[in-house]
Amino acid sequence: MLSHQSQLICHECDALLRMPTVQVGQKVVCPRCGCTLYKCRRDPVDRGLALSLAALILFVPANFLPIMTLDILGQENADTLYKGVLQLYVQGYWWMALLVFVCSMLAPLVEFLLITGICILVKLRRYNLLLIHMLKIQGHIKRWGMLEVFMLGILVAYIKMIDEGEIHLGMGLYCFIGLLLATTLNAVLFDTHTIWEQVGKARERHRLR
Amino acid sequence: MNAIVSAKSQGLVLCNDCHLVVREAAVTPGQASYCPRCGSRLHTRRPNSLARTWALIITAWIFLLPANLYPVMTVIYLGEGEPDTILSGVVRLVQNGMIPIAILVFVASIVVPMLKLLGLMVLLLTVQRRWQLNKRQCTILYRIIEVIGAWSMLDLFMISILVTLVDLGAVATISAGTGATAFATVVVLTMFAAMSFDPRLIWDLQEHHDERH
Repeated sequence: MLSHQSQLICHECDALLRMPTVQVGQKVVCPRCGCTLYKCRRDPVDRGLALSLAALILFVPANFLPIMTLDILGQENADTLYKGVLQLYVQGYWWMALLVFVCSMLAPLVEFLLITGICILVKLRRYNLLLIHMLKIQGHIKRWGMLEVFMLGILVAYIKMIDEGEIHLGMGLYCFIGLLLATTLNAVLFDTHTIWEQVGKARERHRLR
Repeated sequence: MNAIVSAKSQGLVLCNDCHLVVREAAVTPGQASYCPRCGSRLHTRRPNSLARTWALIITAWIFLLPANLYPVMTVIYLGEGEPDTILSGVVRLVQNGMIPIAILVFVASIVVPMLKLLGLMVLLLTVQRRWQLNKRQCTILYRIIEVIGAWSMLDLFMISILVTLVDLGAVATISAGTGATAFATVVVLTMFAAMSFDPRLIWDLQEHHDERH
């Protein structure tokens, strides 16, 4: 088996294409089905590292500080991401608790840890098996992070409860919004295509030596 | 006429994990081959794509029944309250005058899962019955199905927030219901269904068509 770096295949329609010369900031789109094949980003590793570290710092307060506090007739209670999962589990809905836990806490956390790890390994030029496994897991886990949907959930819950009592927004919410921004920017700016190519080149060199 | 050919017809395979173009030279059928760059197993098309997707879709339709018939949430305010299903929850929002939120919840928890399942069925039938639909539009439909999938989780996230927020003892409590468990299952099943469908099968039809003419 040989690799053909002069060619490119669309992963959605299997069109065989010639590898174009891409400048930084451009993206490659399949001429047949219109799917974005890859984007070439400026400094994906530096930016990825900065954003994932920012997200990791925000992760703890976003999950454990109160998102909002509800006050009805003097009775007060605060909601955090972590307590939401725990409460569902306590009520006996372990399957829902697991899903909410995975989609709003575990998947984003693992993804940010992986991106941090990937960026550090690329910076150190360690194109090893660990990097390959991390890239693969990152590609699979990213679709299970649903922070943007959770944000909408917070908004709906807020509007639903606004007439029932007094609601105070908490520090957790602001950290969560920061976390969401870091995630979204990361999805736009991080670019695994370039890293995979570097991995390929490094392995080729290794084989020739 | 058509300058673009499929990689499959040229004996090339795309690695699903690292998107490397690999020439599948002299690989005997039934024998596994692996990507030289990342070591993942290579597949020309996702294995058993149609059968897997059908199985997941049918299971999701079955779970859709309890998801809509059983209550998803119970709100008890000052000792009063009754369980709400997804639909009665939407009706309650309309009655309270929260029309935009009602539309949002209705779209996310009823329209999106149904459309996803119907859309995937259209794609599966297109491949199996060789329907002459616009291939580019089918691919766009698939892309939409993949992207909107996560938004059905809205109701579940909202419930997880409300059960913690409104836990005020005798004043007010909100608890989850059996329907929510079934609904969560529907969302996961439809996500797996979208992942197991291979959009390249739609474009394979074109080649069969060209070969015959």
